[in-house]
Amino acid sequence: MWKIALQRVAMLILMMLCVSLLAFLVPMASGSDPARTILLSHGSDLALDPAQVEALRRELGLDQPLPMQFLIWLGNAVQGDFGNSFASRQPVIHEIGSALIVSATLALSALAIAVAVALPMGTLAAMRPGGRVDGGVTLLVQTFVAIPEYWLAPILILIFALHLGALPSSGWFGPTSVILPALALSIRPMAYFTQVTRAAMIDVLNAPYITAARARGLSMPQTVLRHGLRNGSIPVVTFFSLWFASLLGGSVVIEVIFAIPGMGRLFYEAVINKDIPLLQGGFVAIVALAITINTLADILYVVINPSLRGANGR
Amino acid sequence: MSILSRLTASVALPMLFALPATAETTITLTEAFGPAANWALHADDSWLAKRAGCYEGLTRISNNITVEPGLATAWTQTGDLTWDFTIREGVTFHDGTALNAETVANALTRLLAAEVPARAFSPKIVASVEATGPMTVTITTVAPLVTLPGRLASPPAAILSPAAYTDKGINPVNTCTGPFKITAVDAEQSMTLEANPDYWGGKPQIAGATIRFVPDADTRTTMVRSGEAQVVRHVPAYAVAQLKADSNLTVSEVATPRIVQLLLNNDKAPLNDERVRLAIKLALDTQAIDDAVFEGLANPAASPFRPEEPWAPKDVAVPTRDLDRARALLAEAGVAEGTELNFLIYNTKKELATMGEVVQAMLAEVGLKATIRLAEYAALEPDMLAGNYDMAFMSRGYLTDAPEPGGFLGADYSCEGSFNISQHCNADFDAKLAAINASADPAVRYAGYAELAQYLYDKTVSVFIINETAFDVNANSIKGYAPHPLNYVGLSTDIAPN
Repeated sequence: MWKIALQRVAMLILMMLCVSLLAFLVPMASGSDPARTILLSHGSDLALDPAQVEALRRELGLDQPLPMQFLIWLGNAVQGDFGNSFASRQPVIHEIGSALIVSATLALSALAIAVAVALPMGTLAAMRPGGRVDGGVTLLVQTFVAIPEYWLAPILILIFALHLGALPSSGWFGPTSVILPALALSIRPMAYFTQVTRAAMIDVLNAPYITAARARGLSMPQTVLRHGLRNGSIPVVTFFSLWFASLLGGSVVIEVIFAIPGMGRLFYEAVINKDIPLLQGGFVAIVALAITINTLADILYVVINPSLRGANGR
Repeated sequence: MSILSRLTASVALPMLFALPATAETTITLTEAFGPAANWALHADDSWLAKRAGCYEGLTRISNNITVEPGLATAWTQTGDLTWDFTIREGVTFHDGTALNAETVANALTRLLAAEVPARAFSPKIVASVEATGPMTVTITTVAPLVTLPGRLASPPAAILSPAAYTDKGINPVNTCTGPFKITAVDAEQSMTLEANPDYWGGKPQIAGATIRFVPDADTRTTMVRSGEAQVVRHVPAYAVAQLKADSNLTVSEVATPRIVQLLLNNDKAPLNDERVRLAIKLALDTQAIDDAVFEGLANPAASPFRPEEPWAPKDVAVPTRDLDRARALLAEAGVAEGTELNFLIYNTKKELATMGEVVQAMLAEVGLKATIRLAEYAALEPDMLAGNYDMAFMSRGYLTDAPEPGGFLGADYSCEGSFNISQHCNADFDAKLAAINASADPAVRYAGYAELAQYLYDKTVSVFIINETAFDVNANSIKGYAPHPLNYVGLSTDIAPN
């Protein structure tokens, strides 16, 4: 037992070391001079003064050898200090923290919309596979999968902000600001969740215990609600966690279009500004979060499905 | 910004749109990006604070690009290297500190000591700034610098209260002298400003403003159409026709001092042959490029400078496409059909990639095969500066540090120029430029710049494609907004409810 635990911890440390090395090296990979790139991002003029470049290189410690830069960075990182953003000069951890709250709110809102629509749609489609409803849902799902966010987002802005004047077109100023981006972001997970729910529910509804429930005199809706949905939603939980992890740092397009100060936009601007500490800190944060979320999902999976408790529960 | 204040703002925002147009009106403007360098003076952050109506310098630049008094009422050159500036009486910073020679000298000395120098006013060109009287500041330059007064209008040369210069960097909140005070900054989202009723240039006619940071150009455009913003700068060319058709909006054309050039490597065969460079110029149809890429709203260029500018050369014309002559010139120069030219295009300015494809197709008609390499500018820059290329696109502002193009001509076309991508070198050109830079008479300098631009045109050192034009939009619920050619002005005392 202890041996396994130690192995896991050792593996985790090794993984985090690899991740940290990758996180350190990836922003350097483009080969261009970070000091020049940072200065280029500070103004619209491409002609740089060499004195400016040298001064910035010294100021940011970019004149140190690369291994030395890594050791200094790693030493600070293990203490939770990822340095200051090259661009804003604020601690990276603060920048990531506030952006993460925004992205998590946006991702959870989008996924909540997706689940709220996908579960009933998938279930309805599964009740009569091949029927009209199923056909309609499949058509809708295929459409949703095909709609790119960079197309849907401006359309939503045009309708709800410009023509109806009902919602703000951009910014992150409270509940009304969340609706349009969450809606735009929910379309693709909604499609996948619907497909997954439909497939799972078809299996569940053919299971013997459903037949037994029906034989006890329960109506179809009652059977689905009491016995079907719980089992049919298990794959959705897995997908939910995967989508949540990916949306935390992956909603760049939506965050840029709607001017939302989340992780996606933070990364977008960090790449433009060649903000190496921010990219490094963000990379570590996203990987660490992905591991945590997947672990939590595994636990939730077992909670929902008691049959999986056997091996782990004893 | 706290969650509570963000929630509060969500309620306040819709109310803002509904406010009646009175002297208590606050307006919303947009910028693509917020402060990205912790307000470091050398960076675009200074331009942002200048446009916000907060930063001011000793001088300012009019909409006709002439130097006017700002926080200095007068200046004189007292020696080859020394200038005296008389500081305006009765001005206070937003924090109540009085403006005098000492605070001005402090501000400019801090700028000279900045970790990253600002090009317009750096230790390379300025030796010292001293308070030599209660309201007199003496600036000593390293070498004669006739453009000094204009450089002091540059946003990094803003005069801020001593409280602005902190250990953590520049703090612009409540430390400027302009008509609007910055009261709060959320670097990711917006900043808020309120009118400075004690402004030396007159009380602003609106109560304040919010500047929203919105990176997507289409979203910014929608904001002015939906009434969420009253001023949006630099809308995309493709949106101009639709915006002009909207009776609630006014579209202003901004004649920006910026040129899109096709740089040619003057030091590498076959483009070291003037005939080949001319053939390339004659193969291009710049009006067609304007129509295809800029909706016909930009201006096909003859020289680097706009024709209405005082330093524009007179004996130039937008080239007329002449494929037969281009082919003949190439044959005369011994350039074979299908000769490959390596063509570098950076991707941060979206239009350049489309323009590159058009140019590629046009050159194919005279038998030249342009091979495009599209990448981010920083990745291309080493090859550009080292001359490892044949052709490259470059969108270049020529009045960036001073309101005259001497710096541009020197950096881009002199033998030792720090941005001499075209690898051009001509001793006569350099000697003339040195003489121009030493002349105290603006008329002599302007004529000199025109002569050098004429030379660049005559020798086809580069092909000048488009004099860029920008478009700003304002809602008709306000009046008095006028775009500035150098992007120095946004909020001003002229803006009023309509």
